[in-house]
Amino acid sequence: MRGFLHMLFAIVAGVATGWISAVGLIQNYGLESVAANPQWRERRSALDHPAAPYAFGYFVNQGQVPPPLTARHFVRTTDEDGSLFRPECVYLVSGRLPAARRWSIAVSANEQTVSTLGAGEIVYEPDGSVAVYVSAQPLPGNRLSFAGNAAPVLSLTVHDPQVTDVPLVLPGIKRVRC
Amino acid sequence: MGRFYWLLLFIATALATHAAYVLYYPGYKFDSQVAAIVGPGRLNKMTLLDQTQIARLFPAYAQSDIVALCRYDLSLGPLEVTAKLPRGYWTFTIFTVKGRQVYSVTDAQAGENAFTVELSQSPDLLAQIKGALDDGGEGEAIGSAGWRVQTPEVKGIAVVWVPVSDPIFRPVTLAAVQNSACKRKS
Repeated sequence: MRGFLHMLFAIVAGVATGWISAVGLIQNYGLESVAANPQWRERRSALDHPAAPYAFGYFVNQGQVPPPLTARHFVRTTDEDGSLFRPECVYLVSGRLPAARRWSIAVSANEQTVSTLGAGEIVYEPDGSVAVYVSAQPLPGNRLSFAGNAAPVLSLTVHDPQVTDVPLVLPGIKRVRC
Repeated sequence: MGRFYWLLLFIATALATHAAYVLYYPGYKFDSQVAAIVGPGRLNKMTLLDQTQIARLFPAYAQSDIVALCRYDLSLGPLEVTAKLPRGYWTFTIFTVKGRQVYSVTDAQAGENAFTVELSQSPDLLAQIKGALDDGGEGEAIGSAGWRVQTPEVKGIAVVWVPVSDPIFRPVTLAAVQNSACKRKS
């Protein structure tokens, strides 16, 4: 009887440990801060990266198709001051985007994409930079809209960047008002 | 000795659970999720996605982009995917049911805007087993604008993505992608 209980405990503890470690690594392993903009974090999914199975699992578990391997995918949950995005605030994404064949920026809440902007549908500033408001309220200009009380998460995907061997410089995100 | 045995059992169970959750569980879940989003009866058929479906499935694409998807099942034989796309940036990508990209080609790599891809499961048992652990896909040219691709897994999705650079070209691009086909190879 005692041996059976030991075996049962070892199996239950093993299943729990394996499951918790898998969930934890799927969420966080391979998510690396970008050198030039540490607020942005890149999810590394290159096949030769040890985090690749966890990165695939991250997207697939949410019912999403991972970005193609020719793309680099970045996520961000904080503004320039390091404060978490809040749903009642207005944020401004500004700066230049890396030279690439295509990029798209998206806002998601509760792990669901709610709005996106692609390179072909944005109005650029005269100097070639971008200015995009992230807000639940209507605003003039480029805007990523969202609704609800969940904290928004921003993601940026750069498809076929022209440079692959140097850190990419990504736009900043400032809080405008709350 | 007894304690060592229980420790070994604990470690083996933890490793098996970890590997199963990371390598195998996502595939079972993903296939049903894609089927629910694309709709029933869309197996081995090219489906043009609407903006809601793009937002649900593709975090890397803008909702204004044009995306067509073929949810394939190679258990009944090879498939043939054909497309004739407009000039400009596009990608054609094949993923396994576990989200691993096994094949990708862009307009620049293809050099042509019309192409045919023959998709079949690898007959090599070792490649199928390896498919759980790495990319495992192989591509081989057939003719001037075609490729034969072998995937390590029987199920997955093939995706045509065409970002629209100017809304004025959207109807033309949409018509071209609509003519893409995914069907059993005769």
